[in-house]
Amino acid sequence: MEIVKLAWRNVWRNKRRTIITASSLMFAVIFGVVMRSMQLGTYDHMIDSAVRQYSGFIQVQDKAYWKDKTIDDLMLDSIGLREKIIGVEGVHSVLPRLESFALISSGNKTKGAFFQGVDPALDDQMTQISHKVVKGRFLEKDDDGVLLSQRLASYLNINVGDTIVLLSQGYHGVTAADVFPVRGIAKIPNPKLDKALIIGSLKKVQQFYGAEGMLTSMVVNIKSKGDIEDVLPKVRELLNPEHLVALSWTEMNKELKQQIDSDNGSGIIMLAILYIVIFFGILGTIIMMTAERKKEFGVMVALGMHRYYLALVVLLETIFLGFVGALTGALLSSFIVAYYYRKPIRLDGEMADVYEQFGIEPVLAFSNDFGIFINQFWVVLTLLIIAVIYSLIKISSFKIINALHS
Amino acid sequence: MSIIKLKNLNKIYNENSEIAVHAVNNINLSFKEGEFSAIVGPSGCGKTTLLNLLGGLDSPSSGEIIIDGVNIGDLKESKLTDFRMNNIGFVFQAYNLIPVLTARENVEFVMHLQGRSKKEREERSMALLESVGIGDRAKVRPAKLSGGQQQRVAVARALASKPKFILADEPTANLDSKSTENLLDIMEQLNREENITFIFSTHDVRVMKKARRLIKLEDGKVIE
Repeated sequence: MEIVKLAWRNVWRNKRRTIITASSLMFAVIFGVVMRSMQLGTYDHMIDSAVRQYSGFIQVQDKAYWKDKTIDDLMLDSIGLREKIIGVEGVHSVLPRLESFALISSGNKTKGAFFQGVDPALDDQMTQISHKVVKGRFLEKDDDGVLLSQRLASYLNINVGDTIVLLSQGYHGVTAADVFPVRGIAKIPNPKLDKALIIGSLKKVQQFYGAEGMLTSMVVNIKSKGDIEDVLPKVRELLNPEHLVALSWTEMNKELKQQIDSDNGSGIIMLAILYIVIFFGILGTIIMMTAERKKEFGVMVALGMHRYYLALVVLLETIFLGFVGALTGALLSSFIVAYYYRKPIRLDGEMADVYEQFGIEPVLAFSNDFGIFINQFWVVLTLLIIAVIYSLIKISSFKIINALHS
Repeated sequence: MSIIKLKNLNKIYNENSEIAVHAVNNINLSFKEGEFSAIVGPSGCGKTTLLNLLGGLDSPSSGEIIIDGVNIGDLKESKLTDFRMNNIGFVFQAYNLIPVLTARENVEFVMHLQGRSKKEREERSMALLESVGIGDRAKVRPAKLSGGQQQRVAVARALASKPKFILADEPTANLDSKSTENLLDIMEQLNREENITFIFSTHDVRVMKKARRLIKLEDGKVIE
C-alpha cells in the first residue's frame, strides 16, 4: 500500500468533514487572493496614475529645485549626462522636461495651469499620452502648438484649432507671455492633472520661459518598477552631488507612498485575522482527526509501522487537504481576478472624490500578479503544517496500549 | 524448543500509588514452537496484560521476556517495532482492520512495511485470503464485511509477515457461534498443517476446547 494512496484515502474517509475544511480553506484563499489582487492592483493603478503618467519613477533635478519648485532652480540639459543615464542597466529612456505654472486664458476665462515642456516622442514612450488624445493630434518634435487636458479645455471652452494665451514668470524674473494654437485635447487619467495640464514641445516651452537649454528635470524611465532599487544608486553615482540629485518616486510622492503603506498594512492585518480564524478551524479538524484515529494509529504501530512513517502519512493527508482547498480557491479566484482585471470597478460618489483629491483615477483595479496566488497558497500550506504539529506530537508520544484501548 | 520464555514477569499499574494493581504477578512461562495455547481466566485476571507484554506492546515492571533468544525489554522503540513486525502476528478482539484499505490491502499492509515486492505481496495476500476462505472478498473494505469475515482478514494479516507466533486477544469475543467455529477451524488447520504457533487469551469455552494447552490465570498469577 503506497503511502500516498493511504494518505489520499484517509483524506476522504470522512467526506463531509473534508469538504467543510477544504471549503473553509477555499474561501480563505478566494478572499485572500481577491483582496490582495484588488489592493495591489489599486496600488499599481495609483502609482501608474500618479507616477508613470507624470513624475516617472526617478527624476534628476537641480539640488534646490524640489524644495520650492521655482523656475529659477533649473539644471542644464546635458546630452552627455542623458546618454550616461541611458547606459545604466534597467533604464529605458531619459525624458527631458521643463515645467512650471502659467495662467491660461481664452475668451473671458482664465485659470492657473501646469505647463509642461517635453520631447513629445520620448515622453510618449512612458506616458502614452498620444493614446489618450480625444480630439486633434499629439504634438510633434519642436511643435509650436500645445496639447490641453480635457477638463481644462472643457472649462475654458476651447477646441482644437483655437488659440490660448499663457502668462507666467520666466527664468530669473523675465516675463513669459505668448499665444499657442491648440493641436489636440487629451483625456488624462489622473483627474487632478486632467483639470490643469498643458503640454508643449520642450523647445517652445524653454523659449516661453526664457530658459533655453535648461530643464526642471530629467525623468528616468525605467524598464520595470522592480528595477528602481538597482537603478537609483547607479544614476546617483553619475551625478555631481554639488548640483544635482536623483529622487525616487517615493520621495516625490510621499503622501501616496504613505497612503499605500498604511492601506497595505491594514489589508495584511485583515488577512492575518482571517487566517488566524481559519487556522483554529483547521486545528479543530486536526485535533478531531487525531483523537478519532488514536486506536488506528495504535494498531498501525503495533503491526510494525514506525512512528515517523505514520507521521509522514498524516502530514501528507494534511497537505492533500490543503491542496484540495487551496487549489480550488486559487482556481475560482483566478476567474474573479481575470474578470476584474479586464473590467476594473469604477468608483463614484464620495469614494471617487477621495481618489480624485489624490490625483488618482477613481478605479479599483485588480492585479493579475501570479505571486499573489503563490503567496496565499504558501500561507495556507504553512498554517496547515503548523496545525499538523499537534498530530505529529501526539503520534510521537502516544502509548500503544492506551491507543489500542481508546 | 521454547521460542518464548517469561522470567519473573511482573506488571504493576500505578506502581507508586495506593491503588497499585498487580496485573501480572511473577509469571514464569515458556511456549514452544507450534503450540496452540490459550490463556484463560476471569475478567481482570491479567490475560490481556500478559498478551500485551508478550507482544511487546507494553513494558513489564520487572522480569524478562525472551523471544527467540532476544530479550525484548532490551530493545529500543524502533528496534522493538521492527521486531514486532517480523516476529509477531496480532489478532485483536475488535479486528482493528484499517478502514480505508480493502481486505487484500489490509493483508498486504505489514508486507509493505517489511519492504516485500509488489508481486510477492499480491500473491501471498491472495493466497492467505483464500486460505481463510474469503478470497472472493479481497477487494471489499472492512465496513462491508461481517464480523466473522473481518476477523478472518485479521488472521490473514497476522500471518502475512510470516511471524514466529500469533497472539490473539479474545478473537472470538465479538463473533457468533458459526463464525467462531469457522475461525477456530481455520486457525487450528494453520497450526496443524503449517506449524504456526497460536497463543490466545480467552474466556470462550469453544476456544478452550480447541486449545491443546490451557494456562489459567487468577489475580495475575498462573495457577495451573
